[in-house]
Amino acid sequence: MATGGELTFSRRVLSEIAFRSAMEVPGVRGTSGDLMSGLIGRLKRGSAHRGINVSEDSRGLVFRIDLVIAQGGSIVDLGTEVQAKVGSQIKLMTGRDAVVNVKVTAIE
Amino acid sequence: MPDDDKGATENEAAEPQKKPKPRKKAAKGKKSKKAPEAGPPADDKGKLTFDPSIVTSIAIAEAQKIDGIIELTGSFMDDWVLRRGKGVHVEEEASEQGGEAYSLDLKLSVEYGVDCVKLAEKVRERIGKEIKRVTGRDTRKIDIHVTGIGHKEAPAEPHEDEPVAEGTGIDF
Repeated sequence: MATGGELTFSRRVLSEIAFRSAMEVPGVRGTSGDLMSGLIGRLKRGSAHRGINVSEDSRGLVFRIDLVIAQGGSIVDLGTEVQAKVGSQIKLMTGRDAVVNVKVTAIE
Repeated sequence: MPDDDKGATENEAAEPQKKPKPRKKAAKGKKSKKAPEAGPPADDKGKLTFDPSIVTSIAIAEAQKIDGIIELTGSFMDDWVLRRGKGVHVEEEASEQGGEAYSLDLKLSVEYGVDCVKLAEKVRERIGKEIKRVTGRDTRKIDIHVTGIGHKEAPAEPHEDEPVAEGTGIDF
């Protein structure tokens, strides 16, 4: 008898995956968020990290990542790479499709 | 259901098999006729029941053997207040084939990078098989909720004996 069941993920886990895979891209310094959104995110338990927001709609999981990047690179290249990396890692680990919106908020 | 295990204490086999036959008053005066009494049913050896905590232990033990799982994660509420098993919630229900089947809820944390879909299949297969082996019952479903992520701690390496500082033990 095959055992069925559901597989679900905490938002915290999803944002952690997004954070780690974004950090793997060279040139990414981190994610950011102003204090207020960070606090709200904590309170809503939406995210383990500042600057990463996870929601879900008909397209699948939707990530919004506020990115801090290092000086010298191309924002477009880096952003695209982060989108690809986060999307593929989410797909790999959770089997779900992800839309990744990246907003570069600072260059250090 | 937890009430079920009370059934274990009442031993059905011990119930008196011979019901006192209603004696007919009309038979007074005659010798009461001896009806051949039905013997006790052939195989009524008693009932075997499991406490749901058995299933919890099986699930925990088996999950710890699976690569990719760091641990089962129960909330404080589950662990200490409700006294449920850590990260495991078991329900018993009647299965379609008759008898009981289990359905489980697992909360667990996984290693970063593992394919959770495959992991979930493996968890269902192995825990289902183990429960079947031990209790003989089916597992209808196992819901898996990934609540944490991280790296498994390497088994504690025996580090070199640190020279124990002699003296008072007070660091200056």
